[in-house]
Amino acid sequence: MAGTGTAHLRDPSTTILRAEDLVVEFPVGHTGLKVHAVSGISLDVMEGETLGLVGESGCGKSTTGRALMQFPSPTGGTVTFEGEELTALEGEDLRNIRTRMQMIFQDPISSLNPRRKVGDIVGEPLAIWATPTQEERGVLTTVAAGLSMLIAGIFAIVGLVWGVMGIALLTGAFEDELTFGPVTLENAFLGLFVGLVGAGGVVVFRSVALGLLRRDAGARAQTVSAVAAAALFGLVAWTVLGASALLFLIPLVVLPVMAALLYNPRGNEDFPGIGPEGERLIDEVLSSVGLDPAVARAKRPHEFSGGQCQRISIARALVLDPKLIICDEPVSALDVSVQAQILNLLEDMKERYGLTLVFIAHDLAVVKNVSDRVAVMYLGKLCEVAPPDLLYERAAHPYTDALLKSIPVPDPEVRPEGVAEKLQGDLPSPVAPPSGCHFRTRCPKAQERCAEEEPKIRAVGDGQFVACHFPMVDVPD
Amino acid sequence: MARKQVTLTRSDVDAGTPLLQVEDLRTHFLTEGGTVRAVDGVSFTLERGKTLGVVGESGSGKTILSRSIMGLLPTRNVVRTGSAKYEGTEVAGQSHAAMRGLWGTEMAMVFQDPMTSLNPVMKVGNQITESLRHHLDMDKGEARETAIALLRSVGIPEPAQRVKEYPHQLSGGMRQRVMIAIALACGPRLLFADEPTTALDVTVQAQILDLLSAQQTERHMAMVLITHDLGVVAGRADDIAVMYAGKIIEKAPTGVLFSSTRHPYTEALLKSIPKLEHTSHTRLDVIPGRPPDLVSPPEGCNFSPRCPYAQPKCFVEEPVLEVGPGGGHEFACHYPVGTPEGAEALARNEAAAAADAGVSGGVA
Repeated sequence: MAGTGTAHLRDPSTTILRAEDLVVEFPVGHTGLKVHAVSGISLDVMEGETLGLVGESGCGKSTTGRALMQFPSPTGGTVTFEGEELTALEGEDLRNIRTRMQMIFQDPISSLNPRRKVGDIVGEPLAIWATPTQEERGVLTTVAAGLSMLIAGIFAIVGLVWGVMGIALLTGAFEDELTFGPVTLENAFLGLFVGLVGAGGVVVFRSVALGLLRRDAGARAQTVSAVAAAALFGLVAWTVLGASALLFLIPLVVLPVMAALLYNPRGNEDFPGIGPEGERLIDEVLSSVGLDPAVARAKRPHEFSGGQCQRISIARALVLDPKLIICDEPVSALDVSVQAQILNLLEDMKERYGLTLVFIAHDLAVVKNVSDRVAVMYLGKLCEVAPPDLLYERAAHPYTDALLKSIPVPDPEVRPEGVAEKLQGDLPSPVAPPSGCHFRTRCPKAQERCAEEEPKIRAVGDGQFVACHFPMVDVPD
Repeated sequence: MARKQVTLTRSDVDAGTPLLQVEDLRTHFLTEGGTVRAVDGVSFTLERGKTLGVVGESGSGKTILSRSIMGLLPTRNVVRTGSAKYEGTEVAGQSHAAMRGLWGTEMAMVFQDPMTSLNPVMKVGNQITESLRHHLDMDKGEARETAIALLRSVGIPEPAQRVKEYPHQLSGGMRQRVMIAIALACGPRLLFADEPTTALDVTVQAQILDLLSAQQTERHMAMVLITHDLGVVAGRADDIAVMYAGKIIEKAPTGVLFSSTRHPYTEALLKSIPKLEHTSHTRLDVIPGRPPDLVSPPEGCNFSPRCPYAQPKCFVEEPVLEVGPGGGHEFACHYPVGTPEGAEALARNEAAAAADAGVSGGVA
């Protein structure tokens, strides 16, 4: 069950998400041992496709889903989403990417903040990415940048006049005594310097004000340079003027405050923010997941059933209009009748919003129902990748076969298989996984070769790939 | 001490008495929001060595039913009426002290969540020997030997090592095996298994269900298997009772229930399960709406607001659980599935729905 190998990956130009040789390891206390949660998994998802990820608990399927989200980033391997390499990203760039990749969690009730209203929960992504309106920005920019530019302008004029006059006096161009300060060469040059810094400040503050107004991509860099300019400005003024330089420190305070008000570092105009447009969007996603926005928005999560809470989670994931949603066991905590509602809802949402899904679950019947392609995992490795119908018709991996046989069939005519047919024992420890094929310790077909050599994933049929030395189907040469 | 007092013991009864006979059992909780009718008039009979599957959604009262019979409910703000006879002895409404004589030795329970039902600061061995020493007066060594034998019989490898371990050192499947060992320790003749596999993986679920059936056969023990998954009871129960809003709405031998489903709710429940033999992206049939509020259930049939067969009569008159023609199959429905009346009711509703769609379509 090695699953190392990439035979099942498709042409990168056709896929939206592609993970290669993903490795996730966690340290075990300070023992130096490691939990090998995911050991070299490669996956890809095409646009509009649903990839099902199945396996027992502890097989690393949730860790894989989280590694795709960089939550946390994998120990090794690469994740490419829409052509962008995610493992190298951090900070704001990663946050930006995550607006297009969202996640739905297993326990709907504990994944919603019990103290917030549903409208706020669903609207929070919008609030995070909100940008101030044009008017707010206009007023603030005019006041703050205008003040800074005014001070810098006064500084520039006074400094330049002082410097020019000082030099003129020293060179004898003027006969009369001048009133300000002892005339020395040093003072004259300082005056000139202050004047130039002031002039530079005017230029920088102006471009910052314009950048913030237009929300240029470089607005953040401009704010930083403006604050640096203001600091330099204040320093020079302090040297020259002493305490009265406090006046010139005003831009140092004003500019960061202005930037904080105007430049939400996560603000993004692709999202409607929290204005009327945002309110409309919250209503729209809530009603598309089958809740009445007028009633639901003012309530808190405890007033809803598990199924309804899962609908709220789905609405929250949808509100930023993502491309990809990773669903981590979204129906495992729900009753069968509610499970059917949520599964149908996910299919509807997929169609309506053009989503691509990664669907993680332990129930093969559920996964089969929603997926276009299923990947079976065991102890951090891939066993088999196949279209769901083919997987059910002819499972190639002994583990897939065992999983299929364990599912209780709601039909008394189908007697449960004999004990011998079923998988015995528990998952081995991921701290010290078995050598060779990870599944060999529980595999009915295990041979010596399985302990020595890790099987590579290979094609065994139309879109069916298996990582097994002794697959249960004929292998085409 | 009161703990040692055994006020209820199994009397010698003739073999004709069923092991468990429940008549019109009701358990109502008095809450600030009103009276919650968690179990509302349930009757059934369970013979020795047989398995009754109790199926229903969360909130249908299946767990409260088993706890009412076991006497594991809080004593305040609970109204319990009706009768539950264990081998002819009335157990409904008995105090905890009185029930203690039956717990463990006569009836036992396996709980849903093996993670939280075991004592985390007690070695698993001691959790098993606790009841052996109390009920069967075993000495320490004997109890320990029995505990090891029990762990072996529930399929735990190296049981002599495992008795010294704490629950957190065991996997979920292992913990559920320990729970089963504890329940089986004093050889009960009636076992309540309350969602014993819901918290477990499918592969482990199959193992645990196999273990339960094997132990049941070996010990000639009766079992009430409570679950929300019809797949779990399909191959394992002799009879199945489907619960909805605190009432049994259909009860039949397993084969009959699946082959000739009569109640629309059972039918809908069966249809909503994703099936492996369906091709992927098969649209699932859902039950519209939500389970009813148990404080003020709907008038007439509880299921009527969600029922595709519902007729005006269903909203006024509550159907009673009756034995249908042919016998052995009880259901509470005015227009049962698979009967001419049912088919007619469904056709009428579908025609009305089509007409509605036609009207609105025409307007649009």
